[in-house]
Amino acid sequence: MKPFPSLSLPRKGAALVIVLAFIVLLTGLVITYFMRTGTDRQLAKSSFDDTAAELLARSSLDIIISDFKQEIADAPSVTAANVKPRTYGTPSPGLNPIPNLIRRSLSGDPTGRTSGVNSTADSANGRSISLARWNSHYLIPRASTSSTVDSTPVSSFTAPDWVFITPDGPQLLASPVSTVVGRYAFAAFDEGALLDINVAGFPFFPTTPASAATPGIPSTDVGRKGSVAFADLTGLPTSPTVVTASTSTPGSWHSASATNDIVGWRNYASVHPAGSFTSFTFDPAATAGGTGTRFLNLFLDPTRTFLLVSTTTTSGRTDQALINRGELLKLRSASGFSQSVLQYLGTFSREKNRPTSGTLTARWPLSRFDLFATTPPTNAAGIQTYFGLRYVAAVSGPPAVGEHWEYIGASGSARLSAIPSTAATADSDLPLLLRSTLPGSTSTGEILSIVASLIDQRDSNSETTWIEFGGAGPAQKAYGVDNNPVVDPSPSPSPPPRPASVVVLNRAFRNVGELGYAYRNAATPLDFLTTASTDAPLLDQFTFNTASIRAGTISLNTGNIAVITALLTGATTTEPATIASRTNAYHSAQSIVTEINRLNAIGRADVTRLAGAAGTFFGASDEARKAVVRSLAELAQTRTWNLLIDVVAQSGRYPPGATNLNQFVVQGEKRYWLHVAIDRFTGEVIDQQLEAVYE
Amino acid sequence: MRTNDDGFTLAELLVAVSVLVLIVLFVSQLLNQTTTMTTLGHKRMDADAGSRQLLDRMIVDFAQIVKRTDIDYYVKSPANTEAGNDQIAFYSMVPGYYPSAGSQSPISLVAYRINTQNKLERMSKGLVWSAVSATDAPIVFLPLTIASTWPAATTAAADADYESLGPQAFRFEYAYLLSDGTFSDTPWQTSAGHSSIDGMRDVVAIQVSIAAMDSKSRTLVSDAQIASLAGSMADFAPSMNPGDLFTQWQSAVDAATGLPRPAVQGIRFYERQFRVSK
Repeated sequence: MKPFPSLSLPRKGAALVIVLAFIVLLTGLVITYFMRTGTDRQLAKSSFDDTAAELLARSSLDIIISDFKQEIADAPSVTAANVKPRTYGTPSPGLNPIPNLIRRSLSGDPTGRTSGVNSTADSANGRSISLARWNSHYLIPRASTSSTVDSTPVSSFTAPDWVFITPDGPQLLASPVSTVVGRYAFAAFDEGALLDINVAGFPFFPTTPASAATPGIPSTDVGRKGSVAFADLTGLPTSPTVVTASTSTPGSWHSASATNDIVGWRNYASVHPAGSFTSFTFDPAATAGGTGTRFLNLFLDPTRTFLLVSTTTTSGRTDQALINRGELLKLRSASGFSQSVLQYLGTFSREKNRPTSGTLTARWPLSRFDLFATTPPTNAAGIQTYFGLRYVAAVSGPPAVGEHWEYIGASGSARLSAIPSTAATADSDLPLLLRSTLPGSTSTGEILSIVASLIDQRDSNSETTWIEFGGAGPAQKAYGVDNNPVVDPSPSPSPPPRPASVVVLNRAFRNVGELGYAYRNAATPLDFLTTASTDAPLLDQFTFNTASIRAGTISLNTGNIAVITALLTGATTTEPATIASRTNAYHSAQSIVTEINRLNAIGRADVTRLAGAAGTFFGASDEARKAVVRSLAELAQTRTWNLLIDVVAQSGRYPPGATNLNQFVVQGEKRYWLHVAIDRFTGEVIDQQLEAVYE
Repeated sequence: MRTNDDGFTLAELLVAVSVLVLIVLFVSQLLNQTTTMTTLGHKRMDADAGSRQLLDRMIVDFAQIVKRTDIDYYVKSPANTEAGNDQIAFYSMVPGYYPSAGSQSPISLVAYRINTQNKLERMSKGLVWSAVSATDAPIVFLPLTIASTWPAATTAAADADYESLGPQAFRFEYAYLLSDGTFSDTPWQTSAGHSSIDGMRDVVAIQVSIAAMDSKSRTLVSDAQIASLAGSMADFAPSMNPGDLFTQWQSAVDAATGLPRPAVQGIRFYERQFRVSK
């Protein structure tokens, strides 16, 4: 019998197999462990890089703001040359202007820190910031006239250059150094030159055709302005490229329905339109108690700051506010209006409501004139406090005495012969304020005649007011101007001849420009039209809105013709009902911006210069030409820099052996839009809002 | 010297068996310790991974918190001391779960709470634009509050927009880092004379503290045991020094004798500060 063949496997081979199996098993375990820890490490590294980029971004914003504040500290005396932030990196004359751009990080800029590496250039690992990304906020005019979405800016915009950061701070590098921890680039924009969409715009009553829609509030209220809410948003062109002084009248404008989308969404609870978002309907202007009335109740409240949403609720809903620019971009998308309008709209504006000249720390409220709404007055104490006057009722006599006022000062009891020359405050009586505002050569009689004329504008009667002053001797009289001639039983001295035609409001003042309806010595209207006007400083001392810090005012030095067009459109040119057309507003705005570009405004007083430069598009009369003053003086400001700083920061390093600044390796990136309000006159940061940008 | 190849002597066998026993004992001990260490490591990594996901989400939510003085925040304050697990609800500019009707606004209502299953969950209710719907609310401003508009964001009530984000987390506590550098359970600086949250003007960062137990350990304990343990862990108090809260939490964990040891070993504490944009 043949024996079984024996197995030929070597007996010691089993050990090898077992050992190999263990090795494979262990190797697998080790690889799994390292893979997991490797992933963990990558996640942690990524988180670290992002945090580093965030810290860099915040630090760079601090540096950028410090530069602005230093600029203010270096020039404490405000002039037309330094009232606006210094600009650099903006387009050269002759190229497409970018009105909102103030500065960008630029090689050779005054900081001396910026490298020559442009942010559109690829880094060592292929990271760059495209031009379209730099304009994702749409603050720069778009280049494309065909695409409705492409944010690529006009060719005159050059992307910012990088500033490199080392542990010692930002440094200008000639070549790569191993200590670099990151870099940033920025562009700063004048958000104060835009219409704050949280305030601007009023509703329209839709008609057919849609282009003929009429304001959903009385045109007289639009015309009296006094709040940016009465800016006509249909005065904003929808053309991508910015309009200039030489651009003919645009062919397409922001629509009334798109305006209704914004207003209806924003003031839904307070105004309560019918319909829903993107199909709101508002009542005709004439509907008493309708949407127009509710809109006026909201925006004509002189105490409202517009920093907060109204507390009115309707059916479990409130009004809305655009939290930041990102939300504005989304709202535009939901509404569907043109991206090109975004270059005129902002979401952040702040202003300290105080004059840029004189001694006042707050402006004098126009609402104090309402003490004269009824005659005889019901608040004699208030009138003495704020006007230094005492009411004297008419006496049939003998001797007959006409109804008039006596100037006794805020705390006196006897008629005064002269206005004290003490410094005025926001609570001073009006004659004292005028004394400290007008030239020293202005006589007491002249000042009191202005006061009398202002009273005539505000009171409800048509009788000419006069104010008696002078010591114990015979009284002197300062006359105002009202619809009826002076009825004075003892006209000594005699009133001057009446002006040929007078405009008397007989209502509450709606804006500081309406002071221009007053007369000096009952003969000549206040001069709010010339560069040399000595009355112009008055525009800076008074206010319709009494909030100490408020939103909604616009930089008077805005270079945006479209923004000024919106402010001027519908302005009352001749009381009570003649208004400025959009076309005329546009042409006036072109002239105004040309004048602003020639010489910046330092304060509201400069509005008279701008009104003079605006020409006669609204008419040649004193009243019509002053429509510019009535539209702009209350709504514009120069003292606050409202900036939007767009910064991109990247954490990273230079690899060993890097020879070129372009070889930076990007590891983390963060972008912020910082909205900040800085008082040009004090350097104080009034408010700021940091908006993280996620793309 | 052994000459017979066909067998072993008894002594040889005894020695061999003894050596084998020793080797088996040694290897089993080694395996046991390795398994314990590996298990602990896995538990830790499991808890770390879950908590990282949670904390990373919080970074985004808090970084984009809407800061305005005219909106409501449902947060811990003297009027809402939130004993035990905390709850927080606020508006943030992050995506959420939107109603099917569309018209999505960029704002969501975000809320964090420990639910009845002792798991941390997050609400991200995507809000629609104002005035698009009679039923789906947009962001509301004061005087309307989060509690009156979305009660589930401030209570234990169910809501479809909650999702379990931190199934390992069973204890949730937060405090405020104020602008004067102090930690507080009051979201404003009383020393500055402030008495309301006022858009979180005084809050620089929110410090979140979490106790988590990995998913394997959780299977070893009942909900009641976890709830009891969470209840025994101290609330943050302004008098605490840095690290005190976790010291007290560890003491509570050590004192929890009724819990299986492997479960106790799986408990981890995490703390992170989330800067609130200014």
